[in-house]
Amino acid sequence: MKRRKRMGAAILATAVAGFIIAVLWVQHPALGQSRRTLYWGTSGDDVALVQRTLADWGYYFGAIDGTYGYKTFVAVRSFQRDSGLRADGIVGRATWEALGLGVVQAAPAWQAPAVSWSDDFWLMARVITGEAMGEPYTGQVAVGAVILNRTRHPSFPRTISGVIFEPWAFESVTNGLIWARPPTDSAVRAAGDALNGWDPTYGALYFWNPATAVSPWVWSRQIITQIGKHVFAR
Amino acid sequence: MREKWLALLAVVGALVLGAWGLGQRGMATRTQAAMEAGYQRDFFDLINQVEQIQVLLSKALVSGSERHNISQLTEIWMRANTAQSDLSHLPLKDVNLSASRKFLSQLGDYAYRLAQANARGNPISDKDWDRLQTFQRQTARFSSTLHAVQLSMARSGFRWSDVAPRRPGAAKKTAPRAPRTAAQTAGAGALDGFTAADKRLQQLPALIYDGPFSDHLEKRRPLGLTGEPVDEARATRIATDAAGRGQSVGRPRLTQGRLPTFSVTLRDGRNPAPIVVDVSRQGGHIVQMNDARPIGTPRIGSDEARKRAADWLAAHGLPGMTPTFTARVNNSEVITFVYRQMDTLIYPDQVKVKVALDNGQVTGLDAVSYFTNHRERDLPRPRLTPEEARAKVNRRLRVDNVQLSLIPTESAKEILAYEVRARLGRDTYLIYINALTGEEENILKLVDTPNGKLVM
Repeated sequence: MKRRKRMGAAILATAVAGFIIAVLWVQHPALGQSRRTLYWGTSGDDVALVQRTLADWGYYFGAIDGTYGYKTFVAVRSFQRDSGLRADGIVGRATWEALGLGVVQAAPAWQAPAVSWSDDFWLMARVITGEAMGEPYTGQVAVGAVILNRTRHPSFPRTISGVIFEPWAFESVTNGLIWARPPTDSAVRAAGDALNGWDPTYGALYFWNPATAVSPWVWSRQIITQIGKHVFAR
Repeated sequence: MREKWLALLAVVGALVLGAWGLGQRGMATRTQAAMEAGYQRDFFDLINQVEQIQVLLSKALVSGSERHNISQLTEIWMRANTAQSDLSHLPLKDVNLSASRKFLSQLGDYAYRLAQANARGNPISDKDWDRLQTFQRQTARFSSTLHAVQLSMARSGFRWSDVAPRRPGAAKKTAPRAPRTAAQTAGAGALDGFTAADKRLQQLPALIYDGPFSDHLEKRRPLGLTGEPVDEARATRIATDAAGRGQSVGRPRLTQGRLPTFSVTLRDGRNPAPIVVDVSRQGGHIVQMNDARPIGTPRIGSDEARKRAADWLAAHGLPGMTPTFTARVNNSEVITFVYRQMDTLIYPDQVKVKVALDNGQVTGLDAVSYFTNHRERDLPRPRLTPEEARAKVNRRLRVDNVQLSLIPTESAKEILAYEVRARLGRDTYLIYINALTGEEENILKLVDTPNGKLVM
């Protein structure tokens, strides 16, 4: 009798603790997503991200399986050698940054030339991070270009913040992800290039990932090109 | 004894959890109420603005005073902007209102252009009057639709937060699977009026006028692409030559926008960053280029960079370009070149060249503007002399230079103007005086920042 009661209480306490942690975790997605150090034997989405990036750049030829094995090790070492880093096969902060997937430092490498840009500029960098992290650099600039193209089209709001905060326009805004992560270094450069007028999409107003479910209406738009995982259309 | 402590712990834990839960629920209710208040405010403001626009349009149609017209049209423009902004705040997920927003944008901008023309002494023509009357009728219908929607919402106890999906995952589904509450069904019904109004607005004839939202701008085709169509292999060769390093990787990506291109990606063994070169399908022109390699410490100066850029352009089919503004970005220099026809600077024919300051290599190019607009133009002869243009600017300015130029407008129309470079104190301005009418067309301010001159 005593033992059962004790077990019951212990189970209840564990359940309560687990519930509280689960709720906090759901409310703060950032808790699970700061950059880990990766080495032979780790596995996860961030490993898949590294594999995908290195595959894009011609270093990695294995399967994108999210498991850090021999092929990944060789690819990482090769990349580190080419980038002038210590070729130890361990993806630490320096390697993450060389991949363009690291976290922005206090002083960003790209300096915005005009004060009047700075709010829009950082907002755009956040949205690019939220929508196109892990995409090729051209794809990141393309997301920024879509935002700018919208400000010039009569069917959309006139300002960059208006376009970004339009309800349900961008998934990373709707689910709060743009505030959870700081902008990545490559997103900061991409936002700058987009604001300087670079438009790899030649006027696109919409973009989406064809592998996920989107409204059927958007497929009736004229498709311009596909960069990485995103299709761009007007 | 131990069970008592554990039991106590469990009870305390449950109480804490309960209190926390109640607190969270209270916070959620307050947040939802604040959001609902925001949406209601946007909706009511939208109704109010559209009503006012409708009345102002009626007044503008019957007013006999030009000055009064100008103030009415300007107020219409302001209210149309606000209405369009309100509409874009509303959480309408499954309802597509882009035609309504386009209508408000075009209406507002049209009124603004008309007010400007009036201010220059051009009275409202018959065609403009007819257009305004059409706008007035459409706005009246839109206004009555909004009233009907609001009435049906009031009757059914509609709340905007009912339209918004509660769970983040629900946003992905295109059709709701869970049974809807009465409020949600009523809400969907109330918004049908919105959808019907938008459908009607989609069927309006194209509006062509002198402004950035004119429908004719959607149909623009690039004018500067000369030559025969090229195939993938040739495009790849052109791209490889232009890039200066690397080999093509994979097949070129097709882009099918206004300027169809082959987008070639190149890589070399020494540098992991790719180079992307877009080659136009017609004529094989290099339209865009970007080399994302990291740039080392600067070793060459602005003058040398400009020379390298000009040499590259001349070697790649773009001679005769004049450098204008420069900006320093991240150890690179971005120089804007424009085409010079005889003694006139043709601003719409613009190419931006990015030069890496560590070795002088051209790492970036943006010639979209050039290939969209360039052609040998039949330029009119200026009716003013440069001295007359100089005399037209504000007396307080010190004029440095006068240069004849062709400037673009927001509606893609081109105006021949004298670019008068003048200073007031320490600020430099570019004032554009129409070379045919002597009107001041535009003023640009040159802002000196540590990263180069910014034109605002």
